[in-house]
Amino acid sequence: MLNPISTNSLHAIPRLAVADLQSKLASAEAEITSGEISNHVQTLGNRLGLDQALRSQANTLTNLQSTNAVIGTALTASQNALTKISSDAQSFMNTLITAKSSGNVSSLAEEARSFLDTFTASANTMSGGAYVFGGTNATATPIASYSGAPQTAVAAAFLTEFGFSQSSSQVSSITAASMESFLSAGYASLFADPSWGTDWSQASSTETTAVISPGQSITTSVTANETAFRQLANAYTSLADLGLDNLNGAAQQAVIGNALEQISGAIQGIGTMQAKLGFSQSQITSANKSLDTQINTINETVGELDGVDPYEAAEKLTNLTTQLETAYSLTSRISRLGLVNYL
Amino acid sequence: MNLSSALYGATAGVSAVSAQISLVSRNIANQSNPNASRKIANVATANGMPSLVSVSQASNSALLSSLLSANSSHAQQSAVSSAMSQLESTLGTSASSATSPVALIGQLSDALQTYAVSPQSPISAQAAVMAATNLANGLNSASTTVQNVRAQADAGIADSVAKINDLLNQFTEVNQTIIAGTVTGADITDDLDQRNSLLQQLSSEIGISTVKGPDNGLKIYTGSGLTLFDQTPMQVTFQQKPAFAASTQGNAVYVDGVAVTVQDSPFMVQSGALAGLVAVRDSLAVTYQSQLDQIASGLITAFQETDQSATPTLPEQAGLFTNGGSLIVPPTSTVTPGLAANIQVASSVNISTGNPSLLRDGGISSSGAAPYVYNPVSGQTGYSDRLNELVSNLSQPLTFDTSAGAGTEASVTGYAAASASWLGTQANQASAAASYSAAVQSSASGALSNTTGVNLDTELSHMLALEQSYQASAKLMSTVSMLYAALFQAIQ
Repeated sequence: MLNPISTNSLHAIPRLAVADLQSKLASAEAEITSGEISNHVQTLGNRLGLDQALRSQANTLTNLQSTNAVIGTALTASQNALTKISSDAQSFMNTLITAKSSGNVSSLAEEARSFLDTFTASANTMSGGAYVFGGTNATATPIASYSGAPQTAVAAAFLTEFGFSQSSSQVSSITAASMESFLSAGYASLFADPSWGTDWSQASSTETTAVISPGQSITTSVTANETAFRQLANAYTSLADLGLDNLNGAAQQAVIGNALEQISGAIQGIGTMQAKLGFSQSQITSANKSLDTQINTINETVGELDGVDPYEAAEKLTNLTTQLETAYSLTSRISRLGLVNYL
Repeated sequence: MNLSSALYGATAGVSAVSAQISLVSRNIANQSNPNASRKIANVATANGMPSLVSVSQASNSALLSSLLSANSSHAQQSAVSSAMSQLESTLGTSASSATSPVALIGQLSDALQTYAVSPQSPISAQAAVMAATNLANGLNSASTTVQNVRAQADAGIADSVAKINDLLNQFTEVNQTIIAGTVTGADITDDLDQRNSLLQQLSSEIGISTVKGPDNGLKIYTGSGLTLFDQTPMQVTFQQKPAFAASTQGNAVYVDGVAVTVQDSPFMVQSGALAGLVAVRDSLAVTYQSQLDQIASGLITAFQETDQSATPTLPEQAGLFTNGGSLIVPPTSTVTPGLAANIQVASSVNISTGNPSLLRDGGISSSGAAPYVYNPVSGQTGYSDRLNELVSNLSQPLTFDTSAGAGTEASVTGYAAASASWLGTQANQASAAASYSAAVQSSASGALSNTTGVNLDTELSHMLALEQSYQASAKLMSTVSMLYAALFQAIQ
């Protein structure tokens, strides 16, 4: 004879099935809404650390791209400033060449003074709260305004050399030879260390560096202590503040000759600096490309680890719903089954 | 043979049938009680007359004992699994939530990286200190969670012990009734049902095995062979701890004076809720706490500051992260219990009362005084070497303690990921074991219920047969009565 199944367990079967199905349904719903596997700790198990590390790494790489943007902005600001400085120098050089051949120096001193101010402003370019030519001394103005310490230093040097000031009428007596000797010694030392650091520049000679991708570090600035900056300050100042208008013709030619030499050196130097910064810029561009590739790869892996295929999840949900409905109708049918209903 | 004996037979039939009907109604009444077994009437014929001699029950001791062991492992696995789901909360609520130690370390590293490209920016400095504070707080709260789980397990052990003692006392009473009933031949089936139900409850708390005596009395042993009940219950004792910290050790549970929760002891409880709770309190949560402590220790080491003099003589000092403000750098090679609860961001870089830019310049441990300052020229705000060094320190390998169970050679980030994997593995196993043991338990309980439980339809059809038999006997009685009446009329 067949052993009868107990009524209690007969009724328990669909009840337990419903409870199980409902909890599965809840997690399937959560997966569809979030697009991620539910219960990630249990489901991923020993791959959880990998998943978390990859997510963190993807964040780090994305963060590197945004810090690269900050560096890129600073580099662009530096490049723009250098381009401006270089083109100003070029146009001033043309003026000087004309003046040198014609011997007409009228308004040259004023023009030089204005170029000096423009140059100072460009050298003091800021990006994101830091002076781009300040080196590691990022928040101190790199090149001092000429009307301050530099002017005093130039005046003092002039007085020491010739025994009178630039505005004195005796200026016309300075010979070309003594002017040349002043320009190459006493005047030139104003733009060399240590005077440059005390009178003109607060910039640090240490260039800033930054990490642009894991393990890759680049130089992100050139400093205002580069020779080109000194040469330009030298050239503009010599024309602006050595009493050019009162000098005799030969001394004027000496000053212009020195200035031309300095400016042409500076233009070359700026070209070198721009090339250096340009290299850094191209490194950032290529680093960003490689970061993009890495981020995509990582995101793909993360997606494989903890992502949910929406179609699969939807299908699972439909299946569960059908099963649950079956369980419900089964419960109602079983509850109606009973000899007692037929007696 | 005469009419009287016919009447006597019919009466006996009616009474035997009514006794069986009463049993059927008892079965039907108990149909929804999962612990009640189906009662069987044993009808015997004596002197040609039927009579109910005894009541027995459907039983299956093999299925019962497999249900007891299934109960034990189910209770054990669910205790572990529910503790694990609390520990899991330290790893974030979803895969993309950024509250796990790994994610928090990553955020700190990113904040430092952002600070390194704008070292002059006080906002970036504050953001980095903020990320560090979040990380320290994250470890603190993870540590609190772990200790809460341990305290809850300890309280659970206390509840379990109280329940075991209570069940054993109830068991004593029922067992005595059964022994007495066996001797006198009384109907003890309901008492047996009750005793089985007590055994099932007991097996949820602690793994047991039973031995039946000749008088139907039971002896109960723990899974490891200690006597739990022999005529009288053994005393199970336990002292709950009021609070838990990383270095707190929970008390042992004693059965009749023998400790049953000591690791590697031959008397160690092997299953039941008690075993699960002890494993959580003394093993799982302790190991996870050690891992958190090691992460904290790794962070303090990664951010430590060294003597920057040309010839260094002074020891390393704790920089951004400290052990409760101390300058001593705890070694990573041995677990310092409770470090994760005590780790904090140095007060010298506090956003409102300190100077966050010490993070860039160094000298956090000395409040900006030499020789722990890294920035070679004071006040140079574009100095980023120290920040870049700190970022790379987070991925430098350190040596960790083997006993913490998450590897030995790893960077702080790598170690935190290994710890997450460890917990993930445990959670995965616990959840698999819990659902497996639930399935086993449910099928064992179904199997027992199927064999010993009541089927309404069977009872009803049985009832119909009895009804017929009752009607026939009653009809017989009324016929005999009519015959007597006819006889008496003939006499008159």
